[in-house]
Amino acid sequence: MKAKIGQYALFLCRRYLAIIVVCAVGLIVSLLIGPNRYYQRILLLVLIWASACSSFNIISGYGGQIVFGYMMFLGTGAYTTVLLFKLLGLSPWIGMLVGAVVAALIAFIVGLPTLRLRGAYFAVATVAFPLITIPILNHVGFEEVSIPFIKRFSAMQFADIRAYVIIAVILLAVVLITVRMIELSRFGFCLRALKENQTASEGMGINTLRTKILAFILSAALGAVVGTVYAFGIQYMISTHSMFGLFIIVRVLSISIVGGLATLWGPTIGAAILVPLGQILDSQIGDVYPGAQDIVYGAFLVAGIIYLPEGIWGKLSTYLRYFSALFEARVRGVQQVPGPTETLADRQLTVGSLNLDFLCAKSSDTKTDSFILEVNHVSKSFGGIMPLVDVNMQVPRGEVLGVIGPNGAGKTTLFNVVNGYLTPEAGAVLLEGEDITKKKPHSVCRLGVGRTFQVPQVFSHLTVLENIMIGAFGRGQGISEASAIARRVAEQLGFSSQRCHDKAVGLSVMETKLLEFSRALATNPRLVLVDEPMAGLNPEEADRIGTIIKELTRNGITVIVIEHVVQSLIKFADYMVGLDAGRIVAEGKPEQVISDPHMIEAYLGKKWKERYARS
Amino acid sequence: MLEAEKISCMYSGMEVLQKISIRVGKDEFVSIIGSNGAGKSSLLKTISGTVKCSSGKIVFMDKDITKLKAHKRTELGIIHVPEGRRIFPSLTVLENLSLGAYRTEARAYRTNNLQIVMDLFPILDNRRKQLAGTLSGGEQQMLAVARGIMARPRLLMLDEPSLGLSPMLADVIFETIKDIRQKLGVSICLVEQRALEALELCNRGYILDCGQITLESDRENLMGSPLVQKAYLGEA
Repeated sequence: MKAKIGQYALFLCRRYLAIIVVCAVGLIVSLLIGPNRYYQRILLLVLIWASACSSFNIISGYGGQIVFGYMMFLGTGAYTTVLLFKLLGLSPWIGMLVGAVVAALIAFIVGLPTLRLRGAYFAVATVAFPLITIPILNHVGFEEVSIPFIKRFSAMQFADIRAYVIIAVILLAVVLITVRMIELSRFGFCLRALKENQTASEGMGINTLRTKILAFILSAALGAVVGTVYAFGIQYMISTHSMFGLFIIVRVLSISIVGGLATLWGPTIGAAILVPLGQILDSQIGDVYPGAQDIVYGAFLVAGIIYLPEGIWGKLSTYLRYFSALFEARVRGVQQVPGPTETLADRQLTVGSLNLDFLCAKSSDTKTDSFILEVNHVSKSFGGIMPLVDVNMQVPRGEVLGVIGPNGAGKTTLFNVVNGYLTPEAGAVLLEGEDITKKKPHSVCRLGVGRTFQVPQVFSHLTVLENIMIGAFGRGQGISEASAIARRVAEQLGFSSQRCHDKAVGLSVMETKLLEFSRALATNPRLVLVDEPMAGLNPEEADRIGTIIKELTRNGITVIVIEHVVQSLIKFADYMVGLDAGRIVAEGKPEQVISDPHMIEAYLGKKWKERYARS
Repeated sequence: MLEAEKISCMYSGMEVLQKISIRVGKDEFVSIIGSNGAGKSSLLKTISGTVKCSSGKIVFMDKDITKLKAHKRTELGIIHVPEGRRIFPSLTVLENLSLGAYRTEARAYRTNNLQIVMDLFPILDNRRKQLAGTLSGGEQQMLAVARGIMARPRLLMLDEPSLGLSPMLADVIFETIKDIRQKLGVSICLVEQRALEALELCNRGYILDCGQITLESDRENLMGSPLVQKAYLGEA
């Protein structure tokens, strides 16, 4: 037992070694500076801004939801602590935690409606809150609040500024360890995935709203603690301007962006560069040019966005990776070839049989002849257009259903209704008898419906393996299980172990399609909705996709395919449905459907039919 | 008319085009076929100037345009209809088309051109006032091509116009491209995955593979070539 604990402690030490070292360096610097208050104060400011920006980084960097009103949480923390201390005599140590809880609550209340919004709305909505808070606090007489001067540990007040430096170092360590834990966790992966592509994340079973709110709450609570330390260590008297002012977000943004958003070390590096610069400028020329510091932050913000959008740490880490790869290659004596190491085309991958037993699909009784999916009288309208009109469809288990129809016939809409992106006005969707009509995409995914997209929706900045892992997370797997599943799925679909570590952005069209299949499979589906898998593929590649789909059914997975490459589709579909103008107009065996006069008239065209007859 | 000499282009450290030379004559129809990732789209992007070429020379109508910005090339009459129907979804069909005629030379002919486009694409005529985002995939593709024509191109470059279209609409698109050529007298450069249709239409074609041109010939030769038959027409 003891040995185990010791081992675990060692493991933690190693994982967070860099953080511990950096924080120790902070302390050593403080020791070297000695009693000089001026330099100690600069160090303290660096630590505080690094903590604030690292907290901000959770929701805005990793989650990609920029919180323009982030000062709301610093201010809430500081005001809660100071007011509780002044009015009720509550120790700031406890007040600090109360402030964190209050900030978390505010984040929850603000986030619940606004985090549903996409794009810039959330960012803009958050800025309203500090702007509302300032006049309210001013009105009730709290425009400026001085901190009662009690030199005691319980009052978080110390004569020596170095005590605050120690507090700030500990705070920074806590924040960085939290960020590191998030980075390595399932939660962190989901956060990065939804930042990249919310629609796809939902399709993979991730509850995006919950993930975003959780990140927002974490950022807010940590920010509140930082606000308290800032108030006690630097301010002595807090004001609505100093705690809720717009200058805070300008500094937070410029430090984070210059250092590198969505990286562990970015905010700390940014703070270590910008804060001393601003302080020195302020003391050197601040008397002649007041506000010089703000100009520095503003200028760095603009310059950072234009010239170094990935930040100093972002840039450095790419170089580091490059050189370490080069070094490794030199050691192994391998010639470094720039660009992707191999393509599927080179390997002439032949998809043999897929063995997906390890997924243990939930489709228990494959023998029962009940339908896996029933679509009953479903209608959907978009402002006057009716993409689906009274659609009825029964999908038997373990077969391939091909869906064809003209562009705009409602095929993709049908998929979106089945997996919950859209809710129909009328009708019901049943998955093995269970009503899923009103379920959200992530719950539909967890019930066993996988999805691939017409326009591939891969997380392009995650690696192949990480993309597939996101699928496994949807079904509730932890990091190590997810990674094991992802490896096996990738191997089955023909990704080499080397290719697994390449970012998805560099994949070929065929590989991107295979990645979408892999990701959908990792969610352990009973039913997979496949939207135009062959678009943009050559005939040979299209046939490979056909083989894969056929293999899925052999593994007990039902597949519904939308496809325009009809000559390939009929080779592997067990039966087909023809849609036109939102209605099912033909149904039956593939031969039947493509001979249907309506389908020829509206979709296939006589020319196609002739060509098909010839071949 | 267009002559690209040994152009190369880099994409994130990878050479996607390696010293490619192609030419398109006046009123000529040139098809470029090749598998995914062969560099077809990059080639068009390099010619239209949305991607910089790292070496080589591009000459259009006896003018060196290698260093010219994309909008300046449009002004000269090189019109690129990119892959994936990049229309303006929140503008109406008519507004989309009007924006196509932004080129100085095209402005004067706006009404005239509109008539030509509407004749070519009767379905767009019926949907003049509809928001482009609410059009079906096939209609959006037609709009994208129509918008290209509104600019009165000298060289019209089409990138996979049949992508994601139903078999019938794909046929319609190819028919229309044939029409455009007969009616407008414009040089066309077509990039297609559907080799059969693309080759049927062209005077001359190029086969692109891994950033290099592996074959260049006229239509008959290409369609008769065993390599093309096997690799691109899917006939065993």
